[in-house]
Amino acid sequence: MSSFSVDPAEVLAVARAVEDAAAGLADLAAGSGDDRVTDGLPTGAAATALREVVGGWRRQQGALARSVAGLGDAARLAGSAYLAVESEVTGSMGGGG
Amino acid sequence: MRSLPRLEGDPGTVLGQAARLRALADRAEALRDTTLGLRAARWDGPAGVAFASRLAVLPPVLGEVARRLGGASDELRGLAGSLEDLQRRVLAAVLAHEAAWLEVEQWARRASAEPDETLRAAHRAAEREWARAGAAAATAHHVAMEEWRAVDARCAAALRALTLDSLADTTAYRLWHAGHDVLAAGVSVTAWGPLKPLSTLGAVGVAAMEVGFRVAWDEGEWSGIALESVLLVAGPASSTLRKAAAAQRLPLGRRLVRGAGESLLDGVSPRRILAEREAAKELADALAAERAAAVARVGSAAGRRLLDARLRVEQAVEQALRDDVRTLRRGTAEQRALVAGAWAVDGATRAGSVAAKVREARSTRAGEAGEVAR
Repeated sequence: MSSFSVDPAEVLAVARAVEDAAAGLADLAAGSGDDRVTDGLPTGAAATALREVVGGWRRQQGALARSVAGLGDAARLAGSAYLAVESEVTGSMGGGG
Repeated sequence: MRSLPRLEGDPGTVLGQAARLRALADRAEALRDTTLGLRAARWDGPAGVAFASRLAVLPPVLGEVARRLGGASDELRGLAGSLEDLQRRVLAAVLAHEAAWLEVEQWARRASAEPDETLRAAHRAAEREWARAGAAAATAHHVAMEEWRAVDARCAAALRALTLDSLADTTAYRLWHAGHDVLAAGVSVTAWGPLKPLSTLGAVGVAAMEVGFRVAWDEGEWSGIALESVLLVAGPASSTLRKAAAAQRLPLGRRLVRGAGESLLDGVSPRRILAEREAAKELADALAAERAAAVARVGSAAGRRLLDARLRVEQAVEQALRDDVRTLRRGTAEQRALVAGAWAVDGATRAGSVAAKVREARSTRAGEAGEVAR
């Protein structure tokens, strides 16, 4: 059993931060996923390994970015919903505070 | 003349790539710090706990991303240094080799054309000397190239070691499913500060939102939830949510509060909804049995009423399902969440009202049966 205490404004702030994080992840994906990463390297084992290191988790980046973006969406939805509940309740109590 | 290969590559470009990876690693590090800082937010409800569980997976993942990219950057920087050094040595060997063999050819030509035996012998000696110098250059070239191969292999091993982290196939799964168990836990709403009245209204809202989040997060297949809720349709709260979903513009929470009202049950949880669903299935079976009996005794007034009621319920189910399925298939994430919220509210409320109707119908029929018996 859990208690329920929430600051909708903080939840919305979290949503914004998580959305920023999702955008940052997308930037990471765009920045590290290209084929230029081995530019300047002679053909060899290191170039192959570098492609694996940097490009290997690229398969995950899309899913990860989408997950984080979904997390941000969920937090935004929750923050808005909590805010609506709170203002509704405040209104039913006579408004103002 | 035999030409030795040069060591390809551009250390300057490699250093540029190293700097780019370092910048990306720093960005990942900053993202990790940001997500770590989010733990301080006040969001202690079940949804907040589930959210925090999911969020908690991010910092280590981002830390691993930073470690991987930062480690790759360090390795590249070291490799660029070795590459530059070895390219210089290889180039020197290549040039010395070329020069030596030019001399060898030149002294060989001179020796062939020299009629004087003593001078010819001196030319041949110079030719052999340059040939030795060429061979020494070839050896130096070989040593430098072997050294590069060793550096290359060492760097490759170090880079591959960086991949031995948890950024494997499980990452997305862990992020996706962390906190799932928390969602299945009971929901309890306690009074807290300005949100005190939520102890009555909020429980339904929270329960519906939990289900909404599950759909928004693709937690399981929506059709599974649909099947669970199929028998429970058309409550006043859920119809409001459905209208909100159809209108595509109304926030979930506002509609939940307006639609749910104070009459809804307190302490509603996903587990409770599950129990209600089971109860509703039993009631639906009971209704079907009643309907069969009613068809058999269609002459009685209670039988006809039950038949009519059953047909109305079926039509409502069909219509509501058609609309919901359309929304779930073509709607936005928020629309889907609203419909899921409608199901959640339905699950908590319809069973009770249906049960009352069934009891009333049974009672009426029992009364009629008693009159007939008398």
